[in-house]
Amino acid sequence: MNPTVKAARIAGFVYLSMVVTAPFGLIYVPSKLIVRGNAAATANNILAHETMFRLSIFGDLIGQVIFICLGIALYRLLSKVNKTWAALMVAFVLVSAAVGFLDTLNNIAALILFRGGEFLTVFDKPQRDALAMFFLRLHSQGISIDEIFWGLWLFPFGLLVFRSGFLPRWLGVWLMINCFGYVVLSVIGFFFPAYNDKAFLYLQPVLFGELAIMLWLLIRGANVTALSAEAV
Amino acid sequence: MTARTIEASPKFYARMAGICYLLGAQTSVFGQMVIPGRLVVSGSAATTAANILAHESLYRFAVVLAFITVPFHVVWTILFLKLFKPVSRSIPLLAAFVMLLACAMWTLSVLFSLGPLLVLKSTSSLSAFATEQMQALALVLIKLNGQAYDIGLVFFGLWCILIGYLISESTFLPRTIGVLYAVAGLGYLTLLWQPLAHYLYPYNLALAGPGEVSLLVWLLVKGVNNERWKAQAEAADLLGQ
Repeated sequence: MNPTVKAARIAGFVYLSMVVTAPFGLIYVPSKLIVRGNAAATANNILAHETMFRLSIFGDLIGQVIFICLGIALYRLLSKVNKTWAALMVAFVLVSAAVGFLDTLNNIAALILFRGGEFLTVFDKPQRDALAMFFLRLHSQGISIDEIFWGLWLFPFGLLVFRSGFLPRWLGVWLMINCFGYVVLSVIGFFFPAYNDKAFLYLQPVLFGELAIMLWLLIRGANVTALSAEAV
Repeated sequence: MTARTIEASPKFYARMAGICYLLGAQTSVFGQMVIPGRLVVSGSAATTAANILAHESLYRFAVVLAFITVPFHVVWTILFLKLFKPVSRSIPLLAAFVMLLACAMWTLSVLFSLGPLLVLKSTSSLSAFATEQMQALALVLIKLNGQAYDIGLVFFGLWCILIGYLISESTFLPRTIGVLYAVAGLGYLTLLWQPLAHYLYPYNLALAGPGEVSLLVWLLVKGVNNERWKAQAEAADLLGQ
């Protein structure tokens, strides 16, 4: 197999593994366990499904590792287009992954508080639950912050795809628009939290850019004829 | 593929780095020092809480500025990575990793500074605590923000020392600026030991002035010397082969 096609397929495969695993910790588990504004109910849910909650923490951590691998796989594919933009792409991925790692600490803190334990008996249960709830909210704020990096890395990524010659230009444009989609989403989440769900719904077409490039890399790989034509 | 490569114009890269450096430094100073300095009273949780609630949009503005600094720093880090490649192969990469750690710490500090808003504004979920307790918790989070920011500055200090070394080894930037920049890094390193940093304050941070300002002005006004940069890049290529 042509090395560029191979690099594209590997990147597509790593991308797929991220797209498949991310929703579990990001969407599924919080929607099942966290009851907004109700610390006692959340405490009951998390203690009753502790393994699920732990799995979501584990999944978050693994997700960051996959994200780093994705950054490196895409660097291998796209660094020959322009090394500076490719390095910038990886830099945003690395900062995002580091922040994502640290953000899981908030969920771990919440779990420690929910579980209680001898050293926490100085607080009564509503206080422990309230404090744990605060850490869960801090975790979700952390995700909102990280969301900006999920957007920012797509700009150099999209630009490299646009200029590559072996991937379709419209995908590059879509990715660059996708960048601003995430940034807008994060800004709305920060300043107008009430409209967050609505914005998430309306921005779906924009956010599907990532899904499109993933499928393209996985199924089509890279256009080798375009590459060889350029070489001649 | 008409991308502007660094080989074509290192001066352009240097100027871009200067602009991002300037914007990153300004947003950081205003977001983490100037605006919080007006709202936070470190000895009094109640006054701090009252100030934040009374000037909530100003506080949020500071949080946004403190965040915006991070992408700017990421960009000029990568530009410096390319700019100093002719000087050394591995040290620019090491410097870039150190700076990315600083960026991660600064982002984390932004998360801590969002905490007080959650604590002070949510009356329902934290009603198990008395108002004074919530205000104390908010102040703890503000202090955590400061500590995380300072740890980021320690990494930034390491970056300054590495970059200072690279500048003084380079032929395309003045050696004096390199020395001053490394001295600036030493000032930031004092934050590793908080009692020492408090004892030396504000002189330790004043050390940063000459190095940072001179490099910034040089990058913005003169960029780098194109011919000398290319000469050093070619010499490095010959050595590498």
